Amino acid sequence: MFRIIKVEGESMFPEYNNGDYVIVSRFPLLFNMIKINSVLVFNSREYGILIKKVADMDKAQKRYFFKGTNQMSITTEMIGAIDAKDIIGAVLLHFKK
Amino acid sequence: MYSIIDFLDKKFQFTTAKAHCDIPCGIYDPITAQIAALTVARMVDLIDEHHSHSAVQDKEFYNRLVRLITVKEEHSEKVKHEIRIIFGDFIKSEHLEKFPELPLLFHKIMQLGSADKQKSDKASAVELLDKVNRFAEIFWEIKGIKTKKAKAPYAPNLEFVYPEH
Repeated sequence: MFRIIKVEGESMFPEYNNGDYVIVSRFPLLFNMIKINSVLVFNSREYGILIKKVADMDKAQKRYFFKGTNQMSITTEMIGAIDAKDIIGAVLLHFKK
Repeated sequence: MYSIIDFLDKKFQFTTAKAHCDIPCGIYDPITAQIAALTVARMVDLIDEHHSHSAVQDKEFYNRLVRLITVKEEHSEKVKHEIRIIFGDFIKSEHLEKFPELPLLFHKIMQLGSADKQKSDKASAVELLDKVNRFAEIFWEIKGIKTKKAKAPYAPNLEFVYPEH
């Protein structure tokens, strides 16, 4: 139920940096604790495993929309809607490099 | 704590999550395709003008004619290229659900782009620009940006769709 994930890339700078580690879990998802700006790790069909902030939620269809924290990030439109089943987990702990 | 996890990572290799950056760059704009479509219409006009006003069909006549046709060819292909990138890289399945006309519109632009290479026909060139303008309207609506229509400030002064800023 918990996974350790390594962050790669700079689109979540300055909060998350290349080489940081996070511990994620699906518990917050199961207990409906995800909010706008929660940081999630998810599987994107086009881009692989990504770490991004929640930009918007469609609770009825259990879909999430994401954004990076800086202008260089791929956009919400490019990422597209992500189904709840493709969420690996919400960040619970963050270990900075 | 970081050094312990880093040590474990070197041993067990944890999954990596990408905080993806600027590739793909996220810079998309249909204006390049719109200008290319307008250029196709302009070349058709210039080809007509050149054909009807040249008294002598000498080598200079053919030289200019070939140059006009070449530019028409290049810009017809450019329309197809630019629209293909936006359709393939930017448009997502939920956009297709919201705008069910998109696949047919895309296909029509590809067909008109090819037709405008094959012939020199103003009606076909104008139709290409119309379709590209519609594509631009949808693109900006997806981005949540309102559009306006205005005549292009250069010949052949056809209507363009512009984002409102």
